[in-house]
Amino acid sequence: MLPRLWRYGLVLSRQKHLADDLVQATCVRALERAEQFTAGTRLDRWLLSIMHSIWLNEVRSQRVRQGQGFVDAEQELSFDGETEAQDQVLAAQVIKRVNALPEAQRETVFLTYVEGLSYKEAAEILHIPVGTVMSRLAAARLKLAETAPQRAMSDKSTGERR
Amino acid sequence: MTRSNTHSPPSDELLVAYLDDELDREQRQHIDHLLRTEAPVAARLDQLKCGELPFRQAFDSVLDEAPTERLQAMLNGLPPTAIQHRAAMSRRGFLATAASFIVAGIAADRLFMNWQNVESDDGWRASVAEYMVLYTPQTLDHLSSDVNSHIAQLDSVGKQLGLPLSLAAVTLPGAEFRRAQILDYEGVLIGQLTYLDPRHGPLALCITAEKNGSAKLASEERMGLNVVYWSSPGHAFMLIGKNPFEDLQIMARSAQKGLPA
Repeated sequence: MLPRLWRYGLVLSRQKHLADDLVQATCVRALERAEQFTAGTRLDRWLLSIMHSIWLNEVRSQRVRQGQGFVDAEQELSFDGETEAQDQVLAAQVIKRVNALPEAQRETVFLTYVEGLSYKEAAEILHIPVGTVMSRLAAARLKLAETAPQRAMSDKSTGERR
Repeated sequence: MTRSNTHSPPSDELLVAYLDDELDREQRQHIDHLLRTEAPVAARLDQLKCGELPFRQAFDSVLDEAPTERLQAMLNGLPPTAIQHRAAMSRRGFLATAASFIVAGIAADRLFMNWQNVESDDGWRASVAEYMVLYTPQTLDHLSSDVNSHIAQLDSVGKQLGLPLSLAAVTLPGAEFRRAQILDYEGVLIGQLTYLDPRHGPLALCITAEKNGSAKLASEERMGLNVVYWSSPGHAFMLIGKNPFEDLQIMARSAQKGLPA
């Protein structure tokens, strides 16, 4: 769970040190509010939801967030063989393009297509109507389609969700 | 969502929901039909499909970059003051669970079953709203207007809810009855009576077995839809649609009169 939480922090803030802080703040908040956790619901959703609130209400409003794209600037990957290298280049491109989306679209795309949440679950975490999830995804897809690069990438894209 | 008339093309949102497998069978069939018969709809779908990237693959590579050890050390080092006494679970328990999640992934949900259960009684209205927000006039387009099949549907729904339903009892002023069906929300049966209002689009009267509700009409907004709800001694009712509250209240009073107590 910690790596997943950190990854969401990175998607939100686009900066590694902020992602670290977000994980810490989220764990502290979760411990403080342990009794508010609803039995039978999923812990991972609850933690993502706490992180979303902290980012939205606290970190984002306090801090200047002019992060670099975190992959193109920082990613240090080991390249073992050609295929792996290619995959990593593709992964970096996908992340870069998602990163370029406006924040609201970026995190909706992340929760739905990466974390595999249903519209309903994403809407709950983001505290928005399902209709807003749908319009964000539609807008994001159009934007991503505009900047669509090599055909090879979209060919690999089927069956992403669940 | 869309308030479009019967002939306008489906919204991008609806097409994306189609691609994401978030539509119910009817809506899916409707889009399937349009894709076969209307080239511009198929072209638009292709365009939206181009925005589909190998998201999960790409972002899974980021997981390896997470400073897991450092985060774990941070978690272990959190000051005890962060934990309040009223917490239902000890810090040690939380840490153990958090650690087990790293190994066992998200399957550990059940460890948290002993946490306080806060189940809200308006859960069913939230479920209905989430469902109804996906409805467009097209959703109801192809439904049979045959009175006999309506009577049979109402009879079946009424039996399952333990509430006899006649066509006369559920006729709402200004709206055309389209269908009655039972929806199952995680074991809770909800009768959904769907109507089409020529001015405001799809509208539903939903019913579920529930005691202890108030007979007084109450209003709320959910997911951009207006809701008026009330209860009888054995059932809870809600009207949901884009109609103004005044309209819904008039309809609710009419239904209250017609339906058996």
